[in-house]
Amino acid sequence: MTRIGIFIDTMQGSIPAAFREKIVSAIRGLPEIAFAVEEEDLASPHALARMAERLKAGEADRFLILGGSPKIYETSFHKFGYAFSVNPYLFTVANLREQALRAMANEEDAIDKAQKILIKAIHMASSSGPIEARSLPLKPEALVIGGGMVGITVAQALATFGIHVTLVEKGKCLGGKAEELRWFYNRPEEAEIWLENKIIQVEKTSNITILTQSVLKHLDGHLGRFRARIVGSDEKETMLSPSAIVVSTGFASLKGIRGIYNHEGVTTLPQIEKLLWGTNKGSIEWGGKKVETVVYVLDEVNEDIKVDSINAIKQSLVLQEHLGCQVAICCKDVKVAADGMERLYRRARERGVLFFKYDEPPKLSTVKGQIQVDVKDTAAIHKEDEWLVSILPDLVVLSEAFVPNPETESLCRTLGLHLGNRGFLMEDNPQLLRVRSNRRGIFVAGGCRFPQEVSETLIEAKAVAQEVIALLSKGAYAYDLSVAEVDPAKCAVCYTCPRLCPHSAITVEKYAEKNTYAPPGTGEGLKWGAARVDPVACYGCGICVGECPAKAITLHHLTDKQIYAQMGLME
Amino acid sequence: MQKDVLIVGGGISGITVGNELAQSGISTLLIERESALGGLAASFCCKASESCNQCFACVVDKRVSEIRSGSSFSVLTGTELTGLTGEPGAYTVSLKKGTERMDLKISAIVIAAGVDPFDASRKAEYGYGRFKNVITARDLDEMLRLRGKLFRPSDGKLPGTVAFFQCVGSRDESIGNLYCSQVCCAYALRLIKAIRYQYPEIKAAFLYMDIQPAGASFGQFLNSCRQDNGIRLIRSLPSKVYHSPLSDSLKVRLTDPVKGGVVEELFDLIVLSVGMVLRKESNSLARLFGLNFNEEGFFAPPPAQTGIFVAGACSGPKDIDRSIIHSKSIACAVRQYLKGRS
Repeated sequence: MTRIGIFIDTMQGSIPAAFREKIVSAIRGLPEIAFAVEEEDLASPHALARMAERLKAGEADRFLILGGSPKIYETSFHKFGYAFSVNPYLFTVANLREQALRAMANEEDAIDKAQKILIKAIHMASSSGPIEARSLPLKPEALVIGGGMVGITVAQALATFGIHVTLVEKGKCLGGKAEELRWFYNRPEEAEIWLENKIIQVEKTSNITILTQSVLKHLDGHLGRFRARIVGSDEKETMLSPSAIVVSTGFASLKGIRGIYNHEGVTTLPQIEKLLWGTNKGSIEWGGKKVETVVYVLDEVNEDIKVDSINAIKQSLVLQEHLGCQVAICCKDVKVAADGMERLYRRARERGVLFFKYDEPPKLSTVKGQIQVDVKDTAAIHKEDEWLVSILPDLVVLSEAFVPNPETESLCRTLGLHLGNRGFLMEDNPQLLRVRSNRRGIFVAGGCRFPQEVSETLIEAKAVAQEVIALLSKGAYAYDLSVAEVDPAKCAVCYTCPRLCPHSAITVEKYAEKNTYAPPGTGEGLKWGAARVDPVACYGCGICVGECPAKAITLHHLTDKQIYAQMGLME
Repeated sequence: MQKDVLIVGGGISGITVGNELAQSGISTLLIERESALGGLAASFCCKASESCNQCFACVVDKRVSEIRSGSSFSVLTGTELTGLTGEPGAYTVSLKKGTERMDLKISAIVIAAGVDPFDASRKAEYGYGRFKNVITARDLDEMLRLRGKLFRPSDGKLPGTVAFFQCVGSRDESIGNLYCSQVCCAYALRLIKAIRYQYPEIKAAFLYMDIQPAGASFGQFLNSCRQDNGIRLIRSLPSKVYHSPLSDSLKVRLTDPVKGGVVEELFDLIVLSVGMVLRKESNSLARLFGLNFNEEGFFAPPPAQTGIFVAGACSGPKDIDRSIIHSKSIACAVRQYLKGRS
């Protein structure tokens, strides 16, 4: 039988003596109570010192604190650095002050409630058990999937801290989408040279192994023990065992192909970026003709991404200032939510770039082979002054729709990550602080999560690097077994739990010898596996415990017995 | 006393940098001028409607309470920085906590001084400070967080109609703030959503110039706002607010793009979405550290190898989410700097 030691915290007198006496009298004399001591303020260093003495004496093996919120005690234990000689899971706290004394209108009800709480807490305490703390060694090895701007930045930062990085890129060379970029809106450097330097740097770094034309085909294992199979172009397989994984596969863009998009006078933002960068003649030509009027039509796609707005304004300034063009930008909203963008937008307006903010998209039609753009001038105050403006531009520039990479979905499945509702990796979840994923040890950054402006993406890349460094620099991951565990003898391998686990912490493995199944007629016991919860990957949420049809899963820090105790269903 | 890193400012950015550095065993001291940690973001309320709207307010609360329950780095509240001597990598700072003064040797300094909401009374035409029922979005946020309910300051009653004015103190040449505060569109829309969820009878109007997107789930969120019949999104910034002495309602003069023409509309409550400006006190920090300002009036990134870093919204407008990400990236840079020196 367990012997419970009770610490009664008077909380500096806020639990009155009469009240304490009445509730404690109900349990006095119960055989499982080893001792009951009162403390003026249990959260004070002196009381904690006395408590430590008591624990050392070994009179009891479970401990119950009667007082206020568990948070107070957790905080004070932590704050005064008390490394008690007993396992923290042997403590139970009954919050008499908030849940009884303050919750009830009159004293009688409060005493009644407090006694009930106390009985439940005693059952709770006696059914608690110690939970082991463990540590998992972490090798300084990371896998970065996707060799674009983000992947390169992360790899470089990790390598500086002695972490060996394998950078896997599906294309022939590193760089990714950043190659479409020619210059930055907020920096004087040339984007091409900047990117080239970064690639050269990464290639020179001894701690980084680059695998181009390679893809991740298979992944199993969990934090610290991932096993990844990478397949190269010549079917060459590489097996890796990284401690952490960063996914930075970027995004794809779709060019419209039907109707007006086929017209020779229509181009896209990345194409004109290339065209503009090459010219130093003072004018540009398109289809053999000098370009004098350019119309941008934005926001028909990518409405909630500010990249197109920034690039269009950046390009329009070059067209207007150096190439003698008249530019009009039609958009729903001018997106200037980036540092320095409002100034750039102002400058564009001052230089004569026209902005049309439309509610209905502008109409594009062809007149004698030339494109005509009809857009309403919504800047007028009076409705009757809202003229339809018709422009006959030499060039119409449209955005390319930013979409997830086609292989994102299969990658998601391979990695056991969540797919967001737009098809990008991960949904926005503030608790994951943007760059963490639903799986411990896997991080997501850059355009594969959401397309962003370059400088913001780079900040995100460095944040991911920091996360990985913080995780791996300690050399070990400390955790305790307050997680779910499957009883292999009871598991029917129904695959309910691996499907439901939000953190992909459950796999079916052949680790259980006992778990056999004899198909009728064979007469032989076939060996089956059983579901296994990885204690490092488990967050202890308890979803699998509730859903398991065979009741084969236990949550160590909240067993069924403890839940029944809290519900008052135990004798 | 000696530490590796000093963090100036205990808002969400400073806390994040401290946490990240402490995790890798770098000894860090965080100083905060106020008596409590959390800064501006600690006064925000949860803006969930049927589901989470990604306002990140809970993340701040969680971090602050984690630190309260014992942090792995030292924190000094009510402390100010009074002096700086030495050279890059070997600075000596003088601190003042109440009447107590101390000197500290440090290698690197992270400045996370934060921002202030724009002083709305500078936009005299909106009548903030003169009319009781004109409040700022921050006032509303604090009202919801501390009082737990929405009411009109003049009579304590629930308003029937609420207008949100965007870009108060942002994108405005007349007051010299030629930048977008980047967070207010999403912030105000989240507030509207939260209010509409709690009080479905309230009709809200959102008066804006351009809607600025904010993050991966913003598109979906904006669509849900557009589909809500109780929210009118009007692309028009009002020119003036009048107060009628007979009732507490306010008359707003604006160009109505739907009706086409100038109209005057009555609202029970007006909420000004104030932008961000650098803290006034930051000028003394700038002098002390020799920091430059960028065109927008925020801190420009200090030159490399000085061992001085700027994190969070004081380097340019950022919401909680982006402040955290920015602070983590700065923590990475600090580690790189310290590693390069050792």
